[in-house]
Amino acid sequence: MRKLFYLLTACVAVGLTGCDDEAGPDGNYGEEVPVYFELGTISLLSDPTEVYPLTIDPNAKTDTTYIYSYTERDTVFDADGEPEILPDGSLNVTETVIEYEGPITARYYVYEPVVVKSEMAEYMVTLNSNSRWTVGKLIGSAISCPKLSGGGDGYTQFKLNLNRSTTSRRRSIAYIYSNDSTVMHKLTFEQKKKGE
Amino acid sequence: MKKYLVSIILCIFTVAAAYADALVKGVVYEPSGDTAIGATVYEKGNPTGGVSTDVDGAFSLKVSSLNATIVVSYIGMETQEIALNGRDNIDVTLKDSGGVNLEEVVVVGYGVQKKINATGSVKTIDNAVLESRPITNAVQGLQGAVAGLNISNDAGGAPGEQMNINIRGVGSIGEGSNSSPLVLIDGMEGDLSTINPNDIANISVLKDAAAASIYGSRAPFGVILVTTKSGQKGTSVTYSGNLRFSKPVSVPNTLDSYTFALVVNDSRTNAGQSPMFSGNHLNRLLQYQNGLLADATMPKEDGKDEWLGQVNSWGNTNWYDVYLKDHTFSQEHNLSVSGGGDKVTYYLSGNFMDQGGLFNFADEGFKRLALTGKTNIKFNNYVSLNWTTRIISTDNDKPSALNSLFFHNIGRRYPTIPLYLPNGEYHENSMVQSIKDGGRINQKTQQFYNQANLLIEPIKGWQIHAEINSRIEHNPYTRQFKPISVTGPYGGQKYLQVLEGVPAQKKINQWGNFQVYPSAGESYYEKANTAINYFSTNTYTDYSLRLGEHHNFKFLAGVQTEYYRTETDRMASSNVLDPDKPFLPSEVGGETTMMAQKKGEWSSVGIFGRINYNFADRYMAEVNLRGDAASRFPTDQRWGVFPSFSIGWNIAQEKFWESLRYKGFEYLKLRASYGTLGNQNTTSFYPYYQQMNTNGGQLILGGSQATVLPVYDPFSSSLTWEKIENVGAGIDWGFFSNRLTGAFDWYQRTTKDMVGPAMAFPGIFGADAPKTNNAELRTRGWELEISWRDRIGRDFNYGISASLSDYKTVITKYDSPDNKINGWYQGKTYGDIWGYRVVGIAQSDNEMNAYLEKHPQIAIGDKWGGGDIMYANLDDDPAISPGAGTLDNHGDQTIIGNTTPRYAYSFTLEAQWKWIDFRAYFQGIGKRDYYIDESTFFGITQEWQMSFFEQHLDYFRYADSPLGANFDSYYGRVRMDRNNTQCADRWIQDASYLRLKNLQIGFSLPQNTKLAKYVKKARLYFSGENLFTVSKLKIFDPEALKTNDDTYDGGAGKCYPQYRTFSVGLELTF
Repeated sequence: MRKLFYLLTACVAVGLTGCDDEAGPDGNYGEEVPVYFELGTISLLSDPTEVYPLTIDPNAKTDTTYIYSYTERDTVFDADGEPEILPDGSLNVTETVIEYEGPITARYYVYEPVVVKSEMAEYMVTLNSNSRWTVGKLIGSAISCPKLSGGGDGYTQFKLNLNRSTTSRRRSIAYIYSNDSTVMHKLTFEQKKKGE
Repeated sequence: MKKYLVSIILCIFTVAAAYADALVKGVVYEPSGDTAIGATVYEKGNPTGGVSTDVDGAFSLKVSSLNATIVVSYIGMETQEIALNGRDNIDVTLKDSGGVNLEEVVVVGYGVQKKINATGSVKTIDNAVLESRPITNAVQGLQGAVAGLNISNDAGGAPGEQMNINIRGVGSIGEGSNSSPLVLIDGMEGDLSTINPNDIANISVLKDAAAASIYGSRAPFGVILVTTKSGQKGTSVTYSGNLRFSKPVSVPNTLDSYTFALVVNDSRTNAGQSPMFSGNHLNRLLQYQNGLLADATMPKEDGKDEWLGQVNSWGNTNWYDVYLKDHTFSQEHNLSVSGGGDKVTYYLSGNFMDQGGLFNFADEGFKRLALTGKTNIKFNNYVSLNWTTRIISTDNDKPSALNSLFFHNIGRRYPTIPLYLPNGEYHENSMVQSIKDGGRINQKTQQFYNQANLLIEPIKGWQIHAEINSRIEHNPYTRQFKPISVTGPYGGQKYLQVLEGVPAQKKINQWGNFQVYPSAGESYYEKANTAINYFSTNTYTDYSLRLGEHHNFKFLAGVQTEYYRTETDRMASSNVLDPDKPFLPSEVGGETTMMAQKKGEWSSVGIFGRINYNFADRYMAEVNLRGDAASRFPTDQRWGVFPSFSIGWNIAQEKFWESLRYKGFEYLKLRASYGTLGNQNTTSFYPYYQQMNTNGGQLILGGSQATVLPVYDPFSSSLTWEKIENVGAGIDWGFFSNRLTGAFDWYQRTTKDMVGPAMAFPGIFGADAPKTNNAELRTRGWELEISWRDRIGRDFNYGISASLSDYKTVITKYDSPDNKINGWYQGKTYGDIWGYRVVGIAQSDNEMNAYLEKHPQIAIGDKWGGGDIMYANLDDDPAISPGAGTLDNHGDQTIIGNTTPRYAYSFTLEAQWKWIDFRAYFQGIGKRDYYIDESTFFGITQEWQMSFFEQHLDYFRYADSPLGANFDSYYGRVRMDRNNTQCADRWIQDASYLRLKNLQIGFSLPQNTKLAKYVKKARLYFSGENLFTVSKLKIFDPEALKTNDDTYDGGAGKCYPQYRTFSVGLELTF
């Protein structure tokens, strides 16, 4: 009986000292997973069986480290230690732009130009990834992209307008990269001349 | 001669001295011859002045005289009364009771009944459930104490917070009526949340019609009878007090500002928008967190005299830490004096409670002062008078801004907002100025009860009662909004709105309350006074008749009248000369004044009668009949007649049961009941009258907004009573010398003629069809209570008791004009939640696109992608949609849960060993679904409703996220729109819980100490309330899920937090 009583008293002591609130979550539920992001195939949107080859340019640079910069401002002091005043009454301040390498080095894939017909057409590019991605930059007036971002395995589309030139081919460039900027793809479309 | 006279006189005085205030000693024995340890011995009429026998069964009791009668009681034994007849030393041998305490009574309507003869569903509990607990009011203490008495609180633990009470579930959804039980304190309607819990002697809950019908149409959903303590012979002074420390529980853990910014950016990019926080801003957040920046804000770059705030500053503030205290202090003190003699007894008590609040800057609190005086005067053997006067004063004071809107704003306050500005003032977005300096609300209640009960007993067995009851209330109220401002970076002053984020407006609602959101810089003062007069009389007589040896009758007949009047006068003005000393201005034709006056009165009369019959305590029957008239209904429909009857069979008294009785099955009773009651508790005093309330119209006449008087809606002149039909059956038992007791009840309650909408008229009519009595609701449920009490050895006794109950309510008739699934319709189970079912979270764009090709989700959102929710297709249409939201066309929605609290349970463990006692009381809900449609649950529900807590980080993320990948997540992608936050089964929370409601250990002064000569009883105890909770509910406390006031519709995380309390107390009786 005494032991039972001591047990009850212990329960009271535990109860009265109070239990903590329920334990909170463990961390932020995230895990470090390496990003992968690959271009799959390029095909004509209206005819997925018409597939274009995608070849990495072996001579292109394969990685790049991001460069950041900031501006350092310093007030100029005279020999007496007083700040120098310019004729317009403002302080004499020097500005120096300092560049430094950032922590991110991106893998950079450049592809040999994908040769396509001169007619207006839409092309689907499949993507294999475990990351969010963005079509960040388009170079060329003929190219547009209705699907500028996505996540995971997916696809994007590019629309190329008619190349009216009968003398030269026309190139359009799209940069597609993972949202953390660790993987970048440079995709070049080369439209044939009209009538070629 | 003189010597003889002196001798005689001396003898007389000696004898008189011997008989006055004497001490009687003795020993109490069990039938076996063992001494009875812990038996209670007291002078008859003075139970509070009793003593307990010690380890040798011995007792020493002060009595008023040696002619007194002492009472000896002991568990499992017959209680004995022994006349001392001049003896000062007496030994008592107890007798076995045969198990059943035949004299145990339950309090019923207008009287008491022996428990074994009661045929209605009645549960009487003593005040042990309230003793030594750091509770604010009696309602809080009753939570879980009685099966079928459902006391719930979803709104947290604000000082003075009211809890919801119902008996046996929801009784009505009729628009304009309520289904709360009637609370009678010593026979008069009263407020259970304001009465001093220390004054309560016992509480009876009358659950079915058979028990409650005697109270008629004021009690269709049950009655709670509170009997307060009365005076006893012999003087006794009791002090009890406790000091309490409360701390908030289930406070969400908010994100730091940097993580918050990352998540916000995700929510925007996932919805196809640009991030809110630039790279520079993110860097600044980190720098401030690392102490590299002194200030978290700066002047706006546009040159305005304002500081950056909201998402533009870079603070790192946990707003719950800012506003919530670690703990708060409360105290309660109670002093009572009881005494008297043969003719007059009295009971006086005073109670003071001071409850602190949990919020910093608020200085909020709730105070109660209660004074009670009860006197019983016995004029002679035939006439006695009971008089009770009770004064209760409460004071609830808090900032005007501390309301549901504030809790809503705290729940979504950005951590990037700093608490302080560089100039040392509080940031304008911190809301501190609103709470600290924005003005206060003060609500007082002052209740003055007077009750007189004259009892005449012309002959034995016949009693005539005449009661007059009066309650006068005076409830002053003030509310003030003061101008508050902040200093800009260039020294300018900017006024702030006290109630942030809502447009300024002033409106008077139909109840005469002012709905005011003041503009910035406005000074506003409002004053109101509510006067309530309640008067009732009860005149009834009862007569007990015994015919022969076995036939026992009791007849009761009476008349009751009630009158209630209320008047509220309210005025407000924005023309306040000195905000620090506010008063309403004297002005003629002021444009800044609001005023309203509301008056109402109702009356009722009831004629009632009851016949009880029992044959040899074996077969029982009871018939009740009550006729009620209520002023609330049209003259041709004022009267209603409500019968009920019940029967009981005490099987254990039958001859065939005798052998089982000797084996320990001493008491088993079956009972059944049926009854009907009317419900006159309409929200409006005169629902068959329509009101035309003046309003500010859309017209401008003469440069001012015109006052318009809209025509009233069509109404039905045939509106009449709601009727409640009860049927039930039950079984009571007491086995093994009453050590194992319990009861089981099954019931069905049907509410008929509830007020509901009629079928819609054609639109050309121009108005809604009038409401009429055309709806029905049915509740079915059951209750189980079981208890075991026993003793082990000489020093240890213990008890275990448990209760379990459940009910389900279905709308059995309802003419819904539109059959909306989120409204009422025939066949709906009360509390049903409609929503979608979730297939899963798409892991990539491809998976989502493949799903959308089969089941487009365009009706509930666009821009779907990987990380978003795939909703299940449940109908013939492959597309996912809500349909028309009606019963016939609910699209892919289905019933996914039910919010009704099911399987309410409680269990109590009690033990006593010598002078140490222990009690643990658990309470909980076995099953409850809850859907929290709030940013506090999802993290974000729209652009400016964001409340990111640590639990919200469990959302879908790809590998590129700076927070790490999370493919196996609970939430979908965090988005600013509602794509991933539709009401769906995945979000239905399990709101069931088990809570250690009270734990206490007490140490009583042993009787054999020197101090015991001066102190009859002394007990020191440690007690805790809400010590721990077991619940699967994400983030929140299961009793802090929504707000109660109508300022703003707040949900979980946007109401006053619940709290845990530790207390130390002392009880002394002299």
